[in-house]
Amino acid sequence: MIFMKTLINNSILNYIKNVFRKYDDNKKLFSAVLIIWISAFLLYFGVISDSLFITNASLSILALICLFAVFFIK
Amino acid sequence: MTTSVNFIYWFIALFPILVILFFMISLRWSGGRAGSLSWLVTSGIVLFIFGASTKLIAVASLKGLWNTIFIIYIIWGSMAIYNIVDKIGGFQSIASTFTQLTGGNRILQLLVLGWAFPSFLQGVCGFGTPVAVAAPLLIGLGFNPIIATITALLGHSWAVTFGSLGSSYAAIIETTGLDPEGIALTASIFLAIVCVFIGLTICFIYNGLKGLKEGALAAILLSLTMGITLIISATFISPYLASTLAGLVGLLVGGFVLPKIKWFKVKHFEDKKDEKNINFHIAFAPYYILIAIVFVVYLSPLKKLLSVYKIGLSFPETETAVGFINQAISSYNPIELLTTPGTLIFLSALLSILYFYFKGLWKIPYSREIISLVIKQAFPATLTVMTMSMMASIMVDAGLTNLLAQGTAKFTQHFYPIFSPLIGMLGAFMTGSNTSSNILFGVFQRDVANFLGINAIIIASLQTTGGSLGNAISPMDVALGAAVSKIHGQEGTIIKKTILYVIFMEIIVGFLGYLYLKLN
Repeated sequence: MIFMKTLINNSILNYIKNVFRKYDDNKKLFSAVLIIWISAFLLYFGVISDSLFITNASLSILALICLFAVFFIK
Repeated sequence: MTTSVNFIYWFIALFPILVILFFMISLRWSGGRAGSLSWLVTSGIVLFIFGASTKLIAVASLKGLWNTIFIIYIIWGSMAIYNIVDKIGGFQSIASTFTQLTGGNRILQLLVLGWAFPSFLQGVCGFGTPVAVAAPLLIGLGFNPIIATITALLGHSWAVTFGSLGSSYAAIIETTGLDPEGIALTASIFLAIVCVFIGLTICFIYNGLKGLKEGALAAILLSLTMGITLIISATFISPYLASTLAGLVGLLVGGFVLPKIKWFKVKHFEDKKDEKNINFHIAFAPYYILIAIVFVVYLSPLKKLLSVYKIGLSFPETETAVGFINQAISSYNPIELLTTPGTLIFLSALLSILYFYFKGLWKIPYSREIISLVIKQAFPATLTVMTMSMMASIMVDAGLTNLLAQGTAKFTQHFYPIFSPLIGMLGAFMTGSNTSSNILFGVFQRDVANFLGINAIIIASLQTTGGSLGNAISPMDVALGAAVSKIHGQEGTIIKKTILYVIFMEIIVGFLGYLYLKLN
């Protein structure tokens, strides 16, 4: 358990952070805003066509991009 | 199945707001980051505790995103105007002229440009425009960007109820069905009282007790002028023009009468004129154009004619497992393409560029520079507004906001009038709009008043007064202010410096309402 926690905290998270550190905040912001709007279009399509799969999939993208914003945007 | 209003549920419903406040104020997270987290937290709460479906979260988030188009449009347009004026060196000229006009009295400049001017603008064209226009002007005059933003946010807030040509006032009278004249009178009296506190708060935030000592007299004189004008206009002329007239009178008194009085004259003021500066009226042209366009479009039959072109999205009905229903809607919050404030602001920006071009002050490459500057400056605010609005919309559609209001009424009982403005504030805090707050809680406030056997007109007036003030601390309005002031990431500091004063004013006005009801 401790090994897993250490791995997640020190390796995986740091790796992801290093990947995104290369990009400046404006690029990250632009990507986040763009992806939110793209998932919004998908979300609307899912809601209107009453497709639970599309709705849930695009909601997951939205959740992931919000997680991205929490961790990688200042 | 229904959620009984108990303290645990009430606290859970409040949790997303506490998350925003904690992360923005204590940890100083940017609005976009805190908004993203609060969207995740709110989605989790409504999904696992309030029995909302993913469809409800999807629909509510989409409604929130749809609402942001309106706000983002204003932010981008205002930033364009600011950068255009800045590019031609207009702010030096504006600053120099206002310094001469006010005889170098800094507090008077702050009160006139940060309080009276946004109140006037709010009268005609609200939706954040007054903050977006006044804050950069104050920064151009050399004021600290945080102080400038707070001043513009507080300065315009008292004028919101009768502002935007009375849209919030119309919302409260239409939703509650109460006597319009009664609400106009009582709400204007409450707002006039609030106006005094707003002026004094601006002075205090500017420079502590020293600022209060220097500016109290000017603030009181200005607030009396604007407050009395508001009451007279709302009662005898037209509530729909009350904020415009109050702001206009404030602007004239603050700009031309007070500087002539010896108490407000600064000793050893040297009237330095910089010959290099362009003419004030040329520098101020984009704002003249904006005011003229707003007046022409909003105060003429043109508005009706142009309002035909609008787009709104349709949404299906959603329901939580605890029985909170949102009806299906065929055209949600339609955006009037030609009359929405964003369009008018962008039109002013384009006309300003043309004007400066013919005056020989504008070069073609400037336009490209402005576009890249605006894109760079506006994205942080865009993310903040989007995530906050999605979160707020989920709270509304999942019944959390309603639960908060019901809980407050249940827990406070006969002391309810004291807390009534706080419910209005909550609505405006969540939605960034007093009109939305009045639509959300107007009927609820009336019903609680009837249930408790107290005057519903007073409670409805407290609701709209609270909602008006709530605009000063709404994360969406704050994000807009921070964006135009180029202080991205300082939204938490702005809310932290403002929230206690706003809550204090809400309680004061609530207490006055309580006293009035007790004595009658």
